[in-house]
Amino acid sequence: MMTPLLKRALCLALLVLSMILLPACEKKSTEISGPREKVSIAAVKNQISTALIVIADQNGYFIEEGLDATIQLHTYGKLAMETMLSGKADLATSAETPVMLAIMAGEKLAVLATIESSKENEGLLVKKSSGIKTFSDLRGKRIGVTPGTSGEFFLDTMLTSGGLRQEDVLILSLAPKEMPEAMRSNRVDAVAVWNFPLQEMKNEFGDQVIILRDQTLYTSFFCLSTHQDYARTRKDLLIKVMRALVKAEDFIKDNPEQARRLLKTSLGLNEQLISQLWPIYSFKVSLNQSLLIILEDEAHWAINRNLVPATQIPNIAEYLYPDALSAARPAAVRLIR
Amino acid sequence: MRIRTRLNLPVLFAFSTLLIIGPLLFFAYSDLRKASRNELYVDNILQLISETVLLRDNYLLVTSSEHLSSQWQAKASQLEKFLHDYGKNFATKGQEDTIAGLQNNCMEIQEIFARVTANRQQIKQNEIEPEIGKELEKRLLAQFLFRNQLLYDGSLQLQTLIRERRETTRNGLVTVLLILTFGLMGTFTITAFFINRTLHSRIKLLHESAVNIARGTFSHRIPIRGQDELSDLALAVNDMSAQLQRSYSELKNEIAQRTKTEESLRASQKLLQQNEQHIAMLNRDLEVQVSKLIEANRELESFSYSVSHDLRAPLRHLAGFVELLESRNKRGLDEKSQHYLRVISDSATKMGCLIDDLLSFSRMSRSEINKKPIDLNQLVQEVIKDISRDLPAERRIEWYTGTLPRVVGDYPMLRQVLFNLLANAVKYSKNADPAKIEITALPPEAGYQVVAVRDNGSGFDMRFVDKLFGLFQRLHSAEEFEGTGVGLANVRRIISRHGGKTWAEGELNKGATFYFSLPSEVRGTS
Repeated sequence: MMTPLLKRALCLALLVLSMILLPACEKKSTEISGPREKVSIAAVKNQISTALIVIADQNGYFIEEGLDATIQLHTYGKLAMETMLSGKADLATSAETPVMLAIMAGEKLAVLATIESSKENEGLLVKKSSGIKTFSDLRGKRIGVTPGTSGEFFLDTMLTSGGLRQEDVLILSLAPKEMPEAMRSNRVDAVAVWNFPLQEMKNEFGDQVIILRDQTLYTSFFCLSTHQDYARTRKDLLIKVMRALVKAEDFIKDNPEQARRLLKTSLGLNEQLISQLWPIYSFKVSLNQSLLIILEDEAHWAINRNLVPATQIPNIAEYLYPDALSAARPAAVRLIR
Repeated sequence: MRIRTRLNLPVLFAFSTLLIIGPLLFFAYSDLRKASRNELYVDNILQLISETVLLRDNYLLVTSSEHLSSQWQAKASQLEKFLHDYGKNFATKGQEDTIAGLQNNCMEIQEIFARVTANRQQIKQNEIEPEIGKELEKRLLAQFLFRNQLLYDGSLQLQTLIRERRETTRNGLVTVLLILTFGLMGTFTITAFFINRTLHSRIKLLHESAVNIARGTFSHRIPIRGQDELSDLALAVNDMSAQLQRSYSELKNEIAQRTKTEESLRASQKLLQQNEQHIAMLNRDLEVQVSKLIEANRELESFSYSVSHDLRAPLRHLAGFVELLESRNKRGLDEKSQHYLRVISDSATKMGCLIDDLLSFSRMSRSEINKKPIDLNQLVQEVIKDISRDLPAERRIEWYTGTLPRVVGDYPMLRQVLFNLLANAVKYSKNADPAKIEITALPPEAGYQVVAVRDNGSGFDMRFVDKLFGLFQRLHSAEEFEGTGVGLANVRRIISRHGGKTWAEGELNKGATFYFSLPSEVRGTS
C-alpha cells in the first residue's frame, strides 16, 4: 500500500514532469471549438481510389478537424468532377484525365493533391477468342471505352505502344456498367477500363479473357480538386481536409487490415477483390512535379486528338494548389517553382 | 518507506540514469553517424541522378549517339548498383520503402530509355510509322521524365527522411537528457525536500515528546507515522516512556508508602519521646520515691537497730533479775512460780535470739560490701566444717559438693548465705537418715553463676513458696523445727545486694532445693 508521503512525492514528480512535457504536447494537440464547417466531397464508388476520403470520414478525422464532411458517391471520377464543376460539391476526386480535360476545357481548377497512384489500375480486358495477344493485334478490333476518362487515355497509349492509331480500331463509347454485357454479347472484342470493373469482369469471364497493359507507359493518379475560387477563399478549411487525409494515410499504412475492413463495410465492396487489388495501389497524399509532367503529356494528347477545343496548353502549374497540403504535411509537396 | 531507502532512491535513480544515458548516447551517436553517412550516400545518389539527366539530355536533345546511350546506361547501372549496394544502410521503414521505390524507378527508367532508343532505331529503320513512333516517344519520355522526377523526388524524400530521423534522434536525445536531468534534479530535490521535511517535522516531534517526557509527562506518546527508522525510534521512545511511567508510578507508590511509614515512625518517635519523657518523669518520681524509701529504710533500720539495741538492756535486766530471783529464793518459790520464772527466762532468751537475728539482718542491710574473688569450693568446705562441729554424734549426713565456681563478692556475707542455706538443709533434714545434702553449680546462664543446695528433708508446699524468703515467715511450727524466720530473708537480702536472685523448689516430705545466682562479674549495690 502506498504511503501518503509516497503519494505526495509521486504527485509532485508528475507535476514537475508535466511542466516539462506539457509545452511539447501543446504543439500537437488540436483544439477544435465552435460549429463544424460543412464541406461536400464528390467521390467514387465501386473502387478504392478514394480510400483516404472514406477512411477519413469513417474514422472521424474530418470531425476531429472541425469539419462536417458529406461524401457523395458517384460511379466514376468523371461524374464526380462534373458534380463539383456544376457546384453540387465543394471537392471532387477523379483520375488525372478528367482533371486535365477540365483544365483544357477552361475550368479554373485547383488540384489540391493526389490521393492514390497506380501503374496497374487501368487495363485492357481482351477476349482470348478475339486472337488479341499484343497491342499490335488490336488492329481492326472493337474496343469499348468511356470517353473523357483515364480509360480513354490508357487505350490510346496502349494503341500507340502497339504502333496503332485510334483509326485502326473501332472504338465504342461505353459506360463501365455497360461493358460486361457488351463483352457477353460480343459487341466488343476488348474493353479499356479501370478497377474494380476491370477485375470484376476478369473474375466473371475467367479464362476467356486476358488483361493487357504496358506499365512503363501509363501511371494513373487519383486527384482531389476544387475550384480555384474555393481554394482561395477556403484555405483554412482545405488545410483541415488535408490534415484529415494525412491522418487517413497514416492509418492505412499502420493498419492495412483494418482499413480494408472499413472500405468493405462502408463502400459495400467485395472483400476478395479488395485483397486481390490492394497491393497495386499507393495511398499517399502528395503533390509532385511528376503530376505536372503527366498532365502536360495528357494535355498534348488531348489537343492532338482534338478532344478539347483549346490548341494551347495553359501553364498547368497554376492549376496546382500546394498551400493546403504544405500546411498539413510540408514533405508531401514536391513542386519546382 | 525507510529513510535509508529514501536516501538510496536518488542514488539508484542517478545510477539508473547513467545506465540509461550510456547506451542512449551510444545509440544516438550511432544513429547520428549513420544519418551523416546516409546523407553522403544520398548526395551520391543525387549526383548520379544529375549525371544521368545530363547524359539523357545530351542524348535526347543533341547527338543521339550510341556512345552517349551506352554512357547513360552505364551511369544508370552505376546508380542501380549503388542503390542495391548501399540500400541496406537505410534501415528505417520509410527509408526502406523509399529506397525500394528508387530501385524500382531506376530499373524502369532504364527500361524506358532502352525503349526510347529502340523506338528511335525502329523509326530510323522505318520499322514503325514515324508519326506513331514520335507519339510513342512522347509518351515514353513523359513516363521517363515522370519516373526521373520520382527518382529525384525519392532521393530528396530520402534526404528529408534522414534529416527528420537525425532531427528526431537529436530532439529525442535532448528531450530524454532534459527529462533525465530534470528527473534527476527533481528526484534529488524532492527527496531532499521530503527527507528534510520529514526529518525536521518528525525530529521536532521527537524532540517535543522527549521534552514532555523529560518534564515528567510519562503518559505522552509519540504518534507513529510510517515505518522507518524514526518510527522505530518513536516506538522505542514510547516503550521507554511507558517503562518510565510504570517505574514512576511504582516509585510514587513507594514514596507514598515510605512517607506514610515515615509519618507513622515520626508519630511513633513522638509517642516514644512522650513515653520516654513520661518514663523519665516516672523514673524521677521513682528515684524520689526510692530515695524516700531508702531514707525511710535507713531510718527504719536505724530505728530497728536502736530499738533492738535499746531492748537488749531491759532484756538483760529482766534475765538478770530472774536469775537473781531464782538464786535467792529458789526454795521459797512454789512449783508454779518457778515454772513462771523459767517461762520468763526462756522468753527473755528467745527474745534475745530474736533481737540478735534482727540486729544481724539489719547489719547485713546496712554494712558496706567489700568485694573480692572467692573460691566457693573452699568456702563451702569451711561452712560444712563449722556446721558439722555442733551436730550431735548420732546425726548422719551425706554431703555432696560439686565443682563450684569462683565468684566476686563480700566474703563474710556470702559465708552467711551458705551457712544459712546449709544450716537450713541440716535442720529440715533432721528426720532423714542419712540426710543427703548436695551443693552443686548449674551451668552459667545469661552471665550468672547459679548454685543449688538440695536436701532430702521435709520439703515444703510450693503454694507457699513466695513466703519462704519473707522476714519472720515460717512454714513449719516452732515445735517441729526451731528458728526465727530471719535466715532466708537474710540470704535474699545479701544475694540481692550482690545483684543476684534467689528462688526455691520443693515438695512436701521430699526435700527442697534452694538456688542463688551471682553475676559472673559481681556489681555491688549499697
